[in-house]
Amino acid sequence: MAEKADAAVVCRGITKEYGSGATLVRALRGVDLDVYAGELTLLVGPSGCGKTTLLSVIAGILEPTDGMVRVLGADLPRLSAAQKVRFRGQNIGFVFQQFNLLPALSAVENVTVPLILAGWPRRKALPKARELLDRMGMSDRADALPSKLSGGQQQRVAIARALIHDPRLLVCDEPTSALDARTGHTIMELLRDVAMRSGRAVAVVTHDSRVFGFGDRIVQLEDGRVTRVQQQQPEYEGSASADFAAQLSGNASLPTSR
Amino acid sequence: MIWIAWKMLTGNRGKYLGIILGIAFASLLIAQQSSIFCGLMRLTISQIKDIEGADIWVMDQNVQFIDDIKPLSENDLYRVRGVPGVQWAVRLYKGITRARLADGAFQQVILLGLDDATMVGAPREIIVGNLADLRRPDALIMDEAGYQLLWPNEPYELGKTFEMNDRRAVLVGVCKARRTFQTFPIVYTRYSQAVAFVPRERKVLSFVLAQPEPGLDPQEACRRITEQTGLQALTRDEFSWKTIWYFMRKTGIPINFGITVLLGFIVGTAIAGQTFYLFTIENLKQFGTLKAMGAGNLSLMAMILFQALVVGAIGYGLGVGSAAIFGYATRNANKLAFFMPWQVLLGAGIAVLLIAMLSCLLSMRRVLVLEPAVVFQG
Repeated sequence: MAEKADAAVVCRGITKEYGSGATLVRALRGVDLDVYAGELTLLVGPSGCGKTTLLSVIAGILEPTDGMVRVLGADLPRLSAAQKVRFRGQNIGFVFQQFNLLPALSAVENVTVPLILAGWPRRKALPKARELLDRMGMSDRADALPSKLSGGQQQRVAIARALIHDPRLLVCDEPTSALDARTGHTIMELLRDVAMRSGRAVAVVTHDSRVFGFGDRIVQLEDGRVTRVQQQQPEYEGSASADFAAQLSGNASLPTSR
Repeated sequence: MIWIAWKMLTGNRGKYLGIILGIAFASLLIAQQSSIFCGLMRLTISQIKDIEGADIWVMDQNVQFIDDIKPLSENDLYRVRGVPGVQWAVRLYKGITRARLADGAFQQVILLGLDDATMVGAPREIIVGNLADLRRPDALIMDEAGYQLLWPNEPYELGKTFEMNDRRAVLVGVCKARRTFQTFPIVYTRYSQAVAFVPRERKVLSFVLAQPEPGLDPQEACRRITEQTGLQALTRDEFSWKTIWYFMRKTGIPINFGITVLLGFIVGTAIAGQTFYLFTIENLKQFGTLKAMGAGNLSLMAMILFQALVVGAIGYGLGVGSAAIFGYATRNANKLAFFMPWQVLLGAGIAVLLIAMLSCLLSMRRVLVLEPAVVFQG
């Protein structure tokens, strides 16, 4: 396990309520959570337990009803909307369950998006994105549209997109649930590698028990509360090497499952 | 960002073409119908344009448009000539009379009687014959469209005769003339001849054509004529606009064309607006993703505005281009009035811009209120 560093994310007493009166729903009920740099933290629990809501709060795209959220030293609820947008663009990488690649852009163009949003000119962003895809074993598919990529390849592109602007926190929502088991493992290895080697904090929401072994810490949520935090020695300690990348590229025709 | 907006727009070809077609259709309808309207309005003043050589038209105070003839007395001509600043003034007869052709058929014609001495207002271009022949007895010159109407598919042949007011008329020439609103044949003759081609009336002088002294503003000359004679004196432009406004106010033409133009606008807005809105809704997740990744509302608004302006510009180009091609293709069709001045292009452009902006605003609203958290809803 990576050496423990300062907490990249500190949540204290987070509550999140939707609606009011008879329709009031308490998605989070006083959650305390720490996510450390260099670690892969898994947020697990049954559907509707509030893990995605918690991830959204950590990512600064959802306002908590109450509580303290400090991400990379910034007190998120106190930031203005514009500051929050800038903060997300500079510090957070996103990986989504359905990949959320822009279908009209090729793989490499998708990877450039965070840089373009940060104001990079396209001629500078494209070589950097191509280099990153190359390192992820995706160079031969860099110019393909997302519709021509397998689920695993799309998620790899999504991870490259999440990393291109060098964020310090990576938030991933069910990154393996749209993938078959083998590809899901490869993706988790990649995410773990990101946490270990670059010292980034990685928070992953999942209900896929097959990938629990990849986490440094497993935070279990139930009914909007953290019920258990388990520190563990991950099963995987190595690198998502070119072997995996090549493996994934070769799996372009593998069926995807949800 | 603009590049991403462009890719998003063109990436969805079906919607992209749908929006463009909607706007192009609206633009075509607006430009084409407005051009036909302008063409019709232009027809109403074609004779004012055709009668060249005099800057001022003098007429009865109650005349509302060129075909609203209220005859003047011969004295009026001399009174106008006596106004200081008027270089010269001549008679003009204008009326509609009935021609009886050799085969016994009747046809209404527009009769123009030009000043015998000066021939002011003579046809601009004689196709067959000679203007000087108009001085021969019973002579007249007919416009080419009129000739083709009376003697279809026949080559131009001078010497043809017909009757007007039981008097023999001889064709001595064929000329070019702008088509009129009534679409009747136009025949030019001398003033003294014209009054013989119509039933006898006490007063027959339709208009006095006058020219101000060199260096005198025609409007000032008009003011002096009105002040001194009590007659209505207008410059050619003023008389043209007076005629156009009469048709605009007193006929249902603007309303009818206005309804079609409005329909074009509404249908265009509905098609383009709905398709653009659906396009945005389909892309909400993409906008949400961009929002989550750090795109601000201003950037997203700029993207949508850019997309709307692109489809607006292309649709506008296609629409007015098609309307122009339509106008060009039908330029020789006698029955179709089509005139596309720059004001039509500007008007259609503003309408299209409005359509694009309405579509854009509808879509922007959805994107602005979009919670980026939508990206985590698998």
